[in-house]
Amino acid sequence: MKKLSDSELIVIREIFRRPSSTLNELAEILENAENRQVRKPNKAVDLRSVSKFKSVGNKKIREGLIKLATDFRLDLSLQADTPEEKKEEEEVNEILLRNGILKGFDFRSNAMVYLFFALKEQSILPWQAHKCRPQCETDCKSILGTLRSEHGLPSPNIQLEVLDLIDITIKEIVARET
Amino acid sequence: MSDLPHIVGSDIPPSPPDKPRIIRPSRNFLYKNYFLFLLTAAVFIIAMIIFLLFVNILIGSSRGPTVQQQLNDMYILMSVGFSVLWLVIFVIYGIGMYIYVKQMVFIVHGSEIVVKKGLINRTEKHVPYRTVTHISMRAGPFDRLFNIGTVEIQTAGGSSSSLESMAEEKLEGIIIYREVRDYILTQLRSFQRKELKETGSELDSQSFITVSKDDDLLKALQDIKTILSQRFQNLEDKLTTISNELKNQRKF
Repeated sequence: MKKLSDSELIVIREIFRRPSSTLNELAEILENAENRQVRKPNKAVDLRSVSKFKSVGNKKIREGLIKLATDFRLDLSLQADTPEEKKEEEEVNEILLRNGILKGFDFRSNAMVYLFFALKEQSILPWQAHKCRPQCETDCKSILGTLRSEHGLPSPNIQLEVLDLIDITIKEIVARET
Repeated sequence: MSDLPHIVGSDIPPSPPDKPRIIRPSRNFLYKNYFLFLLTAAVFIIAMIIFLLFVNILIGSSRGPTVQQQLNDMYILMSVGFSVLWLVIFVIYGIGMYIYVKQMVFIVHGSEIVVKKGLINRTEKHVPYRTVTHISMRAGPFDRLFNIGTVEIQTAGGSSSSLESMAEEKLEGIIIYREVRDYILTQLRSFQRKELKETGSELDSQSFITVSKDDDLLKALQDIKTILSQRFQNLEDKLTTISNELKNQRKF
């Protein structure tokens, strides 16, 4: 996928952490970011450019996720049957996509596959829903740890299984935006 | 595919999903139908224009300028009229096809496939795995043009001789049709294995009942034999006693 520019990365990171951030707040953060290394000093950050960074950053992430899902031949169709449920599911999927998460069904392995956009690595990490074994538990927990930390979510107080952790993480991300 | 990143956990078999899978036709299926309709319309209009042009040249030139003018007017009128008619039909067809495709749903359960479709008559067809004989996939030239395919499910109850029309149900307009076919095959095989196991255990219990019935019968027969042999023993004893008594009486 196309890499995010430094300014886009700062804006998107802030949106991931606090989805309700206003453009003014984003502009302020962009101005103060990393000792103004990103942008030239003494240059004011106007709201229009912040809005552009936001939309371009989101577009790059969205396109990257959908392209990878297509390459993996995942089924992205909605699973709800009634119009009300379908609308609800559409809204949840939209929120997840905005937060760099895409879920699809892999017909070959008969399992749900989650694609996460990791800001730090600027790449997409694919993870399949499964009951972890000792040999993969570290990898799975590290992926979910990255996802939670980039979205500013604290670690859960209780020890959870990875499948439950992904469920809770997604619910928390959706709940912050609604 | 080799450039794709590794899916964490993909080497571990996942537990099968408990929810049925809902599959809907792709938007490309709608575009394919529109394309076929427009193609038919274009072929029809072009054929009509060529025919009218031929009539105009053949008849008009031999009947004088007035007739030719009348034929020209009719030619233009018919061309425009048919084009408008096709356009109106296309609008009606387009709306109808859009609703038809939107309402089309294929649901893959653990024991059957449900196909819901229809515009005026809404049909809901259940195809149990028990009756499925084989599953095939098809992608015609127009399907390949729009990157879609059809998964055909054929059952033992097919009445027609033509193989294509024998398909009990068709899952049309699917982009990942190969994966869907494999998925249905996996579901079908796991259902068959499950059923075989259940049938096997049922047979086992039936044979157990039969064996226990045989045992009972044998025991009863043995009891009867014991009783009869005791009776016979008693009779023999009595007969021996009587014969001895008779012998003694004769001596005296």
